[in-house]
Amino acid sequence: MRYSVSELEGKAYNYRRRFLELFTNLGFGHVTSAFSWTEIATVLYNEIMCGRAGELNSDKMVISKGHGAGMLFPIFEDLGYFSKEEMDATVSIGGRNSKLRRLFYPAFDFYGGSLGMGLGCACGLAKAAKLSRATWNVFCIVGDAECYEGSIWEAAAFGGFQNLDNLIVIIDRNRLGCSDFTERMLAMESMNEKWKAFNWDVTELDGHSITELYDVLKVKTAEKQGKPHCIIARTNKGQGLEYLIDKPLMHGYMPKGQDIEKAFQSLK
Amino acid sequence: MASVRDAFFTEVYNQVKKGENIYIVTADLGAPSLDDFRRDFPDRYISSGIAEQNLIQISAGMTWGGCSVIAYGLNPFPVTRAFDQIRCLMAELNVPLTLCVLNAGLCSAECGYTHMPIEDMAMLRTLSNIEIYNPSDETISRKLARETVHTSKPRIIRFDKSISGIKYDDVDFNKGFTIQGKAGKAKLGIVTNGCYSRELSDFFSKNSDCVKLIDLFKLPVNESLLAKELSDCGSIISVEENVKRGGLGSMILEIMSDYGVNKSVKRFGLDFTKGYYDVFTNRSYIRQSQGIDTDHLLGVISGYMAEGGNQT
Repeated sequence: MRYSVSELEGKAYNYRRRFLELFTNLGFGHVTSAFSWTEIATVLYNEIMCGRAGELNSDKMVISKGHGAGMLFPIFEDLGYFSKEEMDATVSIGGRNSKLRRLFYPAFDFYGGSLGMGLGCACGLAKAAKLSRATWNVFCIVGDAECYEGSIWEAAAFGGFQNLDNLIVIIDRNRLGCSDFTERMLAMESMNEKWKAFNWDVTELDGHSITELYDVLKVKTAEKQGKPHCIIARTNKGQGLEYLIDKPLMHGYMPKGQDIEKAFQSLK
Repeated sequence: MASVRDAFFTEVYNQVKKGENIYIVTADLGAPSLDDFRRDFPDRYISSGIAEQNLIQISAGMTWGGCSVIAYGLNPFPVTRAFDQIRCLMAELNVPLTLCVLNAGLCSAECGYTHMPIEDMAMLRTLSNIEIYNPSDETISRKLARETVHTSKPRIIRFDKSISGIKYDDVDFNKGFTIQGKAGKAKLGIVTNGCYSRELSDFFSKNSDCVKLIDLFKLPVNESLLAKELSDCGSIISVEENVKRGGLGSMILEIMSDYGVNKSVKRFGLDFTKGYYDVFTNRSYIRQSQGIDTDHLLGVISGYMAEGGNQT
């Protein structure tokens, strides 16, 4: 590992804090979705993804659950793609960083918005690598409630059939959609069995454990046995802010007014 | 003589044979002209199954991964079912993939309303970045196939399976339309594309001294050039197998309004404002019931020739 576990945990804390700074200033964003996959993003960008960002042969990143993509800003700042001053100045209404665009920055390939599209795009990227004998891996972050979209399962069938073992999908299993828990709206379980039935190699882990994420991702990115990988990461929507955890209807929440101070004080 | 669809895929085969890096992703749709391609380039022929959303998703991802991709599906499904994918991936992100859709307008009417792409034109022309092609002959199809690896724009090609043969020596994709019949000032301008630009062409060989037919084989069209052509017409009719609301005729009225062209316009197209009934049996029956069959249209056009003014 380039960093120790405690260093990566420190980075995850700093990313959440910086996210709050940027997006409370902006006035909108999706804090719970971003905090749900912070450790996943931390490990991927700092330890797992290979190649120089933006080059054709580098690993690819597709953030299908687009509402969580805001977490990329503090990470890109930490990785040196932007200075703090540049980020402060441009994450603003009408600023050029107020909205990410595909390939606008070099370290990701696509983020969604309209849910259910990213996995199929990731399959296409992985298939292109197979066809050209390229060695890149494709990572795709999918929300668990996003899996209600039928297009996710169209893509799951394709990936399993095409034996895309260079594709690693991470399901952010925070158990919450916008309005309610998935298991109360329309049960998703057994998520594990569903993906296995589509010929995917499935692993479940604690999505906030740096150690588990690193250990599993390190193995799966190297494991080429003819099956795409699905990692079901058990997470909490809003992790880091205790008062948001397991609270439905917080999908579009961004601290405002007195809540801003409360958020910074509560952040763990 | 090949259909516009088969002319396209035959030329794609030739391009791959020459070494071009083209892949075809299909939503469970074949073609006689694809049999050789499947046999000789099996790794370049990829199936999404009948999953039109994923057809476009996979194709976009492969394009980002360095492939030149032709996605192929049965219209209207890639458009109406997967419109959000077209909107977000092709229009917004400008992914330069080519989406070929078989069937345009009423050419598959015997399959019923579900299989008739009669709203797709109205939907697609609201989107930015996308070029929409309606090949009215083999020349257009072959040129599109040759440009597959060179285009920087997303393209949607609507194939009418009834159209075959060569009509043009060449076409100008930047202009987006051709003129048949009378050049310059004309008593009547007919704006159409696809099948009608072929079916009505015999008429123009006899009446080209006063009628011009404008074949809008590509949208968006060069609007200023089109406005100039329209301003040279005494009257204008639009003819299409799309719903009139939002179709070619609507587009013409918008352009004329924007460019200050004040001419009488009569639109001929599909109008189901009173319900769909059970008219979806075959192409000629629907055309007759909607007043857009060729005989009726030629009668209308002749009326303009004789008297001028509005005809019904």
